[in-house]
Amino acid sequence: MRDMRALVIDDSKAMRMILGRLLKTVGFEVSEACHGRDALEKLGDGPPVDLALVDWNMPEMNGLDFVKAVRGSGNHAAMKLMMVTTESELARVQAAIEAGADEYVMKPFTPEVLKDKLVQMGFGA
Amino acid sequence: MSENRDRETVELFIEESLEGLLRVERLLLAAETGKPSPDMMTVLFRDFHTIKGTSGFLDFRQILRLAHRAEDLLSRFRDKTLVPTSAHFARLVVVVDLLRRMMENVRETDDEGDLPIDAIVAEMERDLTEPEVVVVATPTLALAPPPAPAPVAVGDPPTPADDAGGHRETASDGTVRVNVAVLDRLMNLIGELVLARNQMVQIAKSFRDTHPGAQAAGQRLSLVTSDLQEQIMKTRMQPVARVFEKIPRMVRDLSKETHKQVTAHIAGNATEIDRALVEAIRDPVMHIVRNALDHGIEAPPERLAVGKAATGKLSVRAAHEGGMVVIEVEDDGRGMDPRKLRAHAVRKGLLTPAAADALSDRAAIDLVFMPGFSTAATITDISGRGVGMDVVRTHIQRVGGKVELDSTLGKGTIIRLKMPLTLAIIPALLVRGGGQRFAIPQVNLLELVYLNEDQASTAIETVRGAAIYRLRGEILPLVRLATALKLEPAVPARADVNIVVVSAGARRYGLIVDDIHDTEEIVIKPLHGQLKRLACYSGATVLGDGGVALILEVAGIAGMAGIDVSAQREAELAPVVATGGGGAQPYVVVLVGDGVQCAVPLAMVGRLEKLAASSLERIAGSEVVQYRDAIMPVVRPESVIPLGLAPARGPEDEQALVVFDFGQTVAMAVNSIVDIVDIDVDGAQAEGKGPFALGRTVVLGKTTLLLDVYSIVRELAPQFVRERRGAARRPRALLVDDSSAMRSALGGFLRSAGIDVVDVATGELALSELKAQRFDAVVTDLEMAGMDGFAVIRAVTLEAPLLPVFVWTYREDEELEAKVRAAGARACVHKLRREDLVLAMQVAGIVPERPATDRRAA
Repeated sequence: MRDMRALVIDDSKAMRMILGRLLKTVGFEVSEACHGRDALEKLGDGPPVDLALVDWNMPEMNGLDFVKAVRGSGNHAAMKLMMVTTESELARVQAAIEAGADEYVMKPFTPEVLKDKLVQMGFGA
Repeated sequence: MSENRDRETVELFIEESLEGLLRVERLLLAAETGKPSPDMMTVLFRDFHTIKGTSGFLDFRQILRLAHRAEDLLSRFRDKTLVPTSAHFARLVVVVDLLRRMMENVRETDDEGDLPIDAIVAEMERDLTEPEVVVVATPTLALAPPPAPAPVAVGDPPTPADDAGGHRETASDGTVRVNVAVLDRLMNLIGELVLARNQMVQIAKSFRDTHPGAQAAGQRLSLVTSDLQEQIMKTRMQPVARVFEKIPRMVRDLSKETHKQVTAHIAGNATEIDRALVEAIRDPVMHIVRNALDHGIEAPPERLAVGKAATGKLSVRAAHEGGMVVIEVEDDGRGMDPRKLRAHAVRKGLLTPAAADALSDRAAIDLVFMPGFSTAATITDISGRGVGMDVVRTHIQRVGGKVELDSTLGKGTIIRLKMPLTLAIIPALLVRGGGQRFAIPQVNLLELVYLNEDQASTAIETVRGAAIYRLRGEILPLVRLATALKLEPAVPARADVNIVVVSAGARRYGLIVDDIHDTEEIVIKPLHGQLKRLACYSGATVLGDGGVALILEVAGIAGMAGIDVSAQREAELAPVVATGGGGAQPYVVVLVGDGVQCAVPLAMVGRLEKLAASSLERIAGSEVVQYRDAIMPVVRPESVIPLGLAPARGPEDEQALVVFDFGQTVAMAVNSIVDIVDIDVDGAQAEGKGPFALGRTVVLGKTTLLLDVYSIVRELAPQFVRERRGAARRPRALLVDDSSAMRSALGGFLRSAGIDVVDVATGELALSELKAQRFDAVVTDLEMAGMDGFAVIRAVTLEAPLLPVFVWTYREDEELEAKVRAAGARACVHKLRREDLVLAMQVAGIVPERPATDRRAA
């Protein structure tokens, strides 16, 4: 079975580093994008991605618009989209789910929380 | 502690957050000044949001809490459920400051520290409980006035809630907060007390005989007052940390911007200085630090290549030293290259190549203090702010300080600021001029010179209407105080002379006063309203006897008296050659006629020859000589200037010839060639001036006539001149400027560009020159006593309508240029851009496009 790939989409380099580490501890190979548009480009010419962790507030293209764009394109249908959010954004998670996001995780989270979420989403434990 | 908190991530977090906070700060400031950008709230929100999110992972709880509340507040603004007020923005600015300090703490100690955030968090929470409002489409962000008496800002009296939190400082640690206004008032009062003390001591002296106790009481009062003054001064002291604390941040930002690696070492943070001076040193220190990073410290590859560590070192130190505060900024960068500085000064037209070459390395480094000298090879965003070291020096000198600079090529640079401890009370010398008393601040004083009647009559010379005194070989311009201030001179005028030698900026001059009294500690009182604009006074003071004295601003007086303080720096920098002064050039000294000593510029001389007198012949009425297979004309100065007859020569006698090269050679027959010496043309006296002589000066102990070679040749060998016209004759310009330094500087420049220059100090003199000889151009200053530049333009237009006039001035505005052109001038050129003047002359067809000195190559 091939390695699982994850894409971390966040405008903060520090945050990408933190999230990347967390994903590696649960077995992902990680690449990074610094906003929605960057992510779309990287998805376009990279190997298939199994999971994208999506930040909410980003310049160029924010998380919600990214979800809409990916799901609207019909490409990468197998890719799971996980919104990384804070409690102040919980109210808006609904909109992301409606647009096609699969899951959300609230900052800050631990590797255990992330693992639980991944199991729920059907990634082999 | 969070498992995510490794060094690398934390460093990244801090860097990112500080960047974000800087952005936030700028936006908030823009909002406060009423220029909010439309997407401002989104950007503000995102930056706080990122800080909040990351700090959560890294478990920095205080940062999280603060950023969280700020984010909440901003989300309300973004969603337009709360109208932002200036009080809100003030709170956010405080939040930015606190977050920044926490970041610093994290960087230094790995811990965010325990800063008092409770109050500000509580305030933001209160803001958030305000009822939601629906804002109807606000096109731009309108700041509502603060709803309640504007609360907040760190440093305001703590609310009871804060006290409960126990974060605030209490009085129990031995300090009391005192309002600055109270301290200022105290300072004023002690000033008054010092004045009263001075009066009292004088009165006590006069009671010495009748009341023996009076003097003792006076002395006691004096001592206590001094002590009190010192103590009160101390209350105004603030640590230089207030300036230094900004340095690490600046070094970090600048080193990133310039891709350099720099560590900053700061020492002496606790050194105290008067609070007014803290403000005065802020910009200069920042500028010097900026310079060190921008020009001093090299990029890592360059450093490694010369065997230095990749990371540069910047040290900033403060210390008390002999009653002064000394601030040192040292870098281990590339240092200053005297050769480059010289070349730069020449390129900028600040120095002639000859003057630059003559500078010692030490003096060359001091060139950076010259106005108009920018050390940057290219103007960068960082240092190219129109401020140079000259501005730093001006600022520091204005508050009675000094700037010193040491630089070793390849090793680094040290700049030292020496500041007085306080400003308000200064030692000063009291003098009398025009029947009134004046105070000259001690910091401007260099020395006192007394000339008795005999000395005064011989030692004070007049050069072109300006009095000078040679102080140990250096020319010291003299200004009579009473005349400069337009006061009646003392009656009767004294035959002996008191000169107070003062320094104004980089220039020194002598102030002639009627009397010199004591030095006294004076309290500076600012001048009121109208008087403030007078450049010659910096303030006033009350003297011991109750009288009032104005405090002289020596730079202002120099300006009023026409001593160009900044430009004469050049003359000062140039070494004193033979007769002294900056305009010295080598001349060939010859004897002509019946033994009159004359001189011609060596620069014009091609060869010095001695031939048999028989080789001179007369052809068609003109004297010629066979020379190197060609025939050249011979001219004799005594045939146009009454110099007496040259002794008759037999055919076997030797004839000395000075051969000039005008494209074709011309020989001047002289009796003998005496020597080659440096002559200061600027020091030459105009009385010897005539159609064929430039002036008279003393060389080798004899009066010497400076010959105008061109005029002589033109007069005596006209066929030659006519034939060779375009090539042979150098264009001649008449330069009118009331500053002799400017005349000498521009004159030298124009001559090196192949233009002959006759310079005069007034418009009136210019007119008589115009009548006496032909010119190709007139260059005039605008602001002059008597006939000003406009009057010169008008007069020239009347006298010689086709003669082009160029105005050169320090002023620079289009309106002025239009006026000048309307008056009839060809062009208006800024004094610092002499090249433009030559260009303008080329455009006008006065100067050939190719430099005249290249002629022979053709």
